[in-house]
Formats: sequence, structure tokens, C-alpha cells
Amino acid sequence: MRLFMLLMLLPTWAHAQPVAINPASIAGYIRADLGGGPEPENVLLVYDNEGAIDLYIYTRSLNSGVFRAPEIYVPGFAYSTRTPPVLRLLPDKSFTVLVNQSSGLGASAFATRIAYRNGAFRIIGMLDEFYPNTGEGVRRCAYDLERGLASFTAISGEVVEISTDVAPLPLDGDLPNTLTEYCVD
Amino acid sequence: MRILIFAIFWPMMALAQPTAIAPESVIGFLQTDTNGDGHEERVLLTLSDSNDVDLYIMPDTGAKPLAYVQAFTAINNDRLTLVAAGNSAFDVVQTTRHGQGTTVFSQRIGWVNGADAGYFTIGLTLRIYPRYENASVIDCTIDFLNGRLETTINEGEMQVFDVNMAPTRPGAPLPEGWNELCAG
Repeated sequence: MRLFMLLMLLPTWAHAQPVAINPASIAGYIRADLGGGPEPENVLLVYDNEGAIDLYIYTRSLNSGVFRAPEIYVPGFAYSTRTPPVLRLLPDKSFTVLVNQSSGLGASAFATRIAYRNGAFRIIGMLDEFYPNTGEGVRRCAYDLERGLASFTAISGEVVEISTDVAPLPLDGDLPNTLTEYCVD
Repeated sequence: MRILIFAIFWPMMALAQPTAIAPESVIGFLQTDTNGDGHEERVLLTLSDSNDVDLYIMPDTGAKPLAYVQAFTAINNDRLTLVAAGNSAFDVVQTTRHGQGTTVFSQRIGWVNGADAGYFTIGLTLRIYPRYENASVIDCTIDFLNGRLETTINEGEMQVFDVNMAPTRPGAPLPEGWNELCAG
């Protein structure tokens, strides 16, 4: 019976947000008015044990003295094993999470832009850049989901711009393959 | 027997630095070189239920804090920010609004070499912006390392004094008399 109950509970545990984290695992933090409520929001990036970066967004008054669990928790939001991610606040109350990676082939940068829109935090833009070690140029794929625009720059320098009807994504969402297939070297 | 074991270990437990914190307790973060070693440490502020703020200085890699100060400060309707200050120090800036105006109190924490090497509070800045027009704006900075106090009233001429105050450890009581020197 106990084993049965344990099996029933396992999927819930697997997706539950951690109630405690190691202070050494914190990779980034900003506190700013992002428009989601009367109090400024707190955005926290935390490394998990496997190199993934979890995203937390929570509101907390600095003088309330009351703990509240983060309202938003997105495990595996980004991946960066070498360099720490960069959180950057933008003037329009949105923010970006930038991660850099390097390999034998080159260096890549991936930025996700998040904003509070229509009652929820959503991904409103993405930027995917790759700089090959050969120094030939850069492959850049930029997605503006608010304006419905995507721009693809091949290493050869050729630029393709298309309009898209892909709406801003939920925080655990991903771009459809029909859009990313333009993003090629 | 259990009580005896607990009694032996309790003081160690009480002094131990936490290895786990609630994610929502984080209220400040800064990544910068705090000790001049060329690596960027991570400075972290967390808030407890009792409004005490704990300070952590974490290495760029590794899980053991370089420094941990329990109840470094307390806040109540304050704003607390971390600001990099050169390549071996950072400021903890506490802004308080009150009936008389706004007070900005900044503690500069940095690495000091020597026999007792470690992190120290190496400077303080106090700025008071009064609410009333005819009151004085006070701007006062004490540099403990160089024994220097600079004060300016109403954006007038800066006055410089020699002071003899040793740096203290972060979270320890500030050198006696600093408040009188600045605000007095």
C-alpha cells in the first residue's frame, strides 16, 4: 500500500518547485516593476544539479516579512554549463535571459525576452546567434513574437525576413519547427 | 543520551551557515570581483521571516561561502541594493524613507590583506535628504582604510578630516562615534 501511494505521488514530486536551494546555485537575480502586480517582481535564476537553469518569478514585499512560494517556476528554462547567464532589464518592463556557450565549432548566444502580457508572463522574443571559429561571420536568428516578425541571417550574409503568426509563448513553450527551420547555417 | 548529543551539537548547529535557502528569500544579488583575485564572486542577500537580512559571499565555483553574515542588517520599509565598487569591494546601499526625508546608508565591504585577511567594512557613506527645504543636506563618507572623513553640507565645500577608526568585520558593530562625526 505504501509503495502504491509512493508511486502515485512521484510524478507530483518530480515537477514540484524546490522549497529550498543551495545559495551557491544562484546564477542571477533582478528586482523590478515588470507590470505583473502592485509589488515589484523578483526574477531568480538557479542552477540545477545538471547544468540547467531554472527560472523563478515571485513578488514579495521587502517589509511584509511573509514568505510566499514563487508564483512561477520553470525548470530547465535555459542551459549554460560554462558561463553564468546574464539577466538584463529593459526599459519597457521586459527582461532578457542571455546564455553563452562555446564549443570546438564556435560560440553561441541565446537570449530569451520575457514580458508581462495579457495577464501572464510570456516569451515575446528570442535571439539565437552562432559565431563559428572559422571567423566567417555570424548566423543570427531573431524572433519578435509581438510584432510577428522573424529575421534570419545566414553566415554567408544572406538575410531572410518573414512575418509569422506565432503568438508570444508561455514560459515553458518553444518555437514551432515551421519557424525555426529557417534558422540554418 | 539523545538530549546529551543534542546539547553537544546544538551550538555547532546554531553557528552553521545554511546550505539551503528558500528561493523567495533572495532579495539581492551581485556578481563582481570582491577580493581582487580576478574571479567574480556572487554576493547574495536573503531576507528572513523576521526581516533580518543575511549576507553571503559565494565563490565563482564551489558551494562554501567565502563569508556568511547572519543578520547583517534589518530592513523595514527600506530598499536594499548591491553595487560593485572597484575590483575588490562592493556597497550595500540601504535607502530609508521616513517622516523627515530620505536616508541613504551605504556600507562598503572589501577584502583586506594582512595577518587577519578577510572581508571588512572598509567604508561608510551617509546621505540625508531632508524633506524640508530649509534643512541641510548631509553627505558624509568615512574611508577606514585611509583614515579619511569627507563631509559636505548643502552641496557646499567639502571638508576633510583625519579619523582613526579600524575597519570592522561585516555585521559587527560599526566603529564607535562614526554617526556623531557624520550626522553631528
